Amino acid sequence: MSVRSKVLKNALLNTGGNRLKIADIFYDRTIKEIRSRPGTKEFDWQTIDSKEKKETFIAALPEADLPSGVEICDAHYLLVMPGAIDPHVHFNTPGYEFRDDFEHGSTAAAYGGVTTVIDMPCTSIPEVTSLAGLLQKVEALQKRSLIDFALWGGISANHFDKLSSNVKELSAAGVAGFKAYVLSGMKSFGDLSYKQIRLAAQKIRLTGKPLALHAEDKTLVLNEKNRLQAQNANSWQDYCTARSSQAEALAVEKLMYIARDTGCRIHIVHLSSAAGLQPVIAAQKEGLPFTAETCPHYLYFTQEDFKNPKIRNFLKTAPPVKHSADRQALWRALARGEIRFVTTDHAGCDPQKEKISDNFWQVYGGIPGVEHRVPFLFSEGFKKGRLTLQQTIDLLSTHAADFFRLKHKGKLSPGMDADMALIDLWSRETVQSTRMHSKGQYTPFEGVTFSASVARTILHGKVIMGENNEAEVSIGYGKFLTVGE
Amino acid sequence: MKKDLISMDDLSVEEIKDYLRAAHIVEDMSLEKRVQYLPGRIMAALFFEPSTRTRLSFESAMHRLGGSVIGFASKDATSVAKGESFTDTIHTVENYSDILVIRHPGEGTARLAAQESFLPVINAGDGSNQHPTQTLLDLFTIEKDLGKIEGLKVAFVGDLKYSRTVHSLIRALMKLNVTDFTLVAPEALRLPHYFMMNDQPGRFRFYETERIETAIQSCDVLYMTRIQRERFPDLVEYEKVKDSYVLTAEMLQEAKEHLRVLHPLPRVNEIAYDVDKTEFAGYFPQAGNGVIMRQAILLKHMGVEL
Repeated sequence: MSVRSKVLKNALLNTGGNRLKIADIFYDRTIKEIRSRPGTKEFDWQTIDSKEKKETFIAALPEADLPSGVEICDAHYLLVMPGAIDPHVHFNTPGYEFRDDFEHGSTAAAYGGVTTVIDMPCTSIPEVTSLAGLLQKVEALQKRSLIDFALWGGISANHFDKLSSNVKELSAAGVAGFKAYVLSGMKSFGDLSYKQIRLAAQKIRLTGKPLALHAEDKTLVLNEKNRLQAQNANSWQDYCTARSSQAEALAVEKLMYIARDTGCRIHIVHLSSAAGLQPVIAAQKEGLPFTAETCPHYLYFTQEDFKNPKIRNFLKTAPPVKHSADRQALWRALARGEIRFVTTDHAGCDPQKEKISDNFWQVYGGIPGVEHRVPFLFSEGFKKGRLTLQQTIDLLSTHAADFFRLKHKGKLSPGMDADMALIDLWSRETVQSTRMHSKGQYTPFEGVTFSASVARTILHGKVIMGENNEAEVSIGYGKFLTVGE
Repeated sequence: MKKDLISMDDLSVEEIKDYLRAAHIVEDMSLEKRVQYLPGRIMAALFFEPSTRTRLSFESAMHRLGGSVIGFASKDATSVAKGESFTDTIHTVENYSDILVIRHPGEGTARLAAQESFLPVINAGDGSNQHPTQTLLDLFTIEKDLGKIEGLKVAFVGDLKYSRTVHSLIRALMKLNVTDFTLVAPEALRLPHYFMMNDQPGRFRFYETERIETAIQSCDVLYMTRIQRERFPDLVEYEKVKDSYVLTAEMLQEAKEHLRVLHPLPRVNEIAYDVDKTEFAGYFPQAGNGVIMRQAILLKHMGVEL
């Protein structure tokens, strides 16, 4: 596909911290040149932190002097960031499409400023636990994604006997990393004992790729769960009692030891508690290859919110959200770089079918969040002063690209893919489930107003979601990304 | 010149290794041979506070070497009860024996005795200060059970704040190139921070946790201690933690095959009885190693070359 040379004029680019500059970005499928506007200097966010200040500032700027023969697009002085990357989504294709599918998921992602996702290996049929499974999934995903995607390989108890060859083959075929569970609710993707995780880590270390783990201690959680269920205790409180911070902390600590003993990169997915964070910080002080991610729901909600029957079932995840001290600790860890990036763990379902039980254990766990993460983090992180602009962008894109070694992603500089998200930091937008683009239209963020929004999303130089919901391309435009060893 | 054993800190790495070598030699020796070493020699066991285990272990060691034992098991049975000074007791008893083994509640008393007496003095525990024979027998046990000491991963569980056994053993292990420690203790009983300070930052790793399960999968030695009720200013706090530091056989399912669980004994409830039957239980043989190590110590300090 030949792409005409274009320029995105009037872009606000972050130059570090809360600093900005005005630039014009030349690109086709990739970024060709970023030209700082002559006659302008770097300035601080405070210079333009209100609509009025921004208007005044813009009025005084010199016009862009652009060559003829290039197609000109206007960024209207919105923030331009590298396309956001969500390394933790469950788009459920193929096999669980009654919950969500790649068409819906990738469209929702585009609306959320996301140009690349990494899809989990456990929520498709077949699971991506072998080369055969990977090939079937890649085939099934032909022409079904609007955005670029990489895939996770998986290690489950169900296929543990072929661990060694599966790891080698999946890695060679280009998975971004490997996912396993200390505690899994899925019969088709069984959790591993710590001993098995250790063995898996020894094999995965040789690939240089990360082993990502759902970290809640199985013994602690199941002992409590069985005790509670025996008493017919089926409330959200009971669920939260079983899936405690202590269960998370114990699993994280044990995994930290596995990282140390094996040298394998170990990554904790959806970290939810201050107790679980502690060993992550200790490990990093020690220089271990031990990282973590967290999700918007852990940064926004607490168990108090389960008292609200309108969102109670929508808020259910594993692990569950914790308490305000945990939330505070997670934000602090983001600001200190102790948590590497923010993901969504996007996992939708049909809320009329799977979010209605009065028995909280039975309620499907998962939030379709891919559309809300970017405005969320700009609003709650940057605008509220918890994160700098640069940290926000790093947490949404750059760090994930570095971590997973996604080539040409995560940065705006010549040679990189022309993947960009335009962020309006002066708008307010209220979350409405009826306007969501994932298959299941529900969210615990219903009615929450974010003070930032995604205005336009560009992938490989083409608009995949514009200000008027327009797109230059359609489903199928997104490519499968393989990751080298 | 007479040779005393007062504190692990007095010993060089070479000297520690010498004790271990000697203990291995004693162990390989027949009982018939051992008994020929110290006939006619007398060990005075001066126990100013009761410590049945340590005293019996020393007495057994001396008897095994063909020597005999005099002494007392608590100060109530001595002239100290009549008002005799400590140094007078030492100066009297040194005329009755060939070596002094001293246990005393006062810190530094063993060193005082060593300075006063012309006999070799073995410190069998002075206050919360030093108990070098316990440390040497622990080291011997570790080396015997695991084939080496250097580079092992060692976890300590329980009262790490007050336990002199733990303090002394950690220091000795650090000397012997053990660099990886896991410290499992409730907040109130953590290892004092100065133990982790040293002149080689980055060489040693101390990971502190309140979860015993964490340590088990990765360590080679799991050293358990008793959590004593009297260490807690607040009984509620004690009740809260006492059961979190109990080792059970179930917890050991993910242990390395060669893991050794050690304990200076007596245990109360910190090791469940079902652990005794597992291949990991090393604490009773550890007590046996105490007698071996103390034979090696007595021989060394009474001038017998092995």
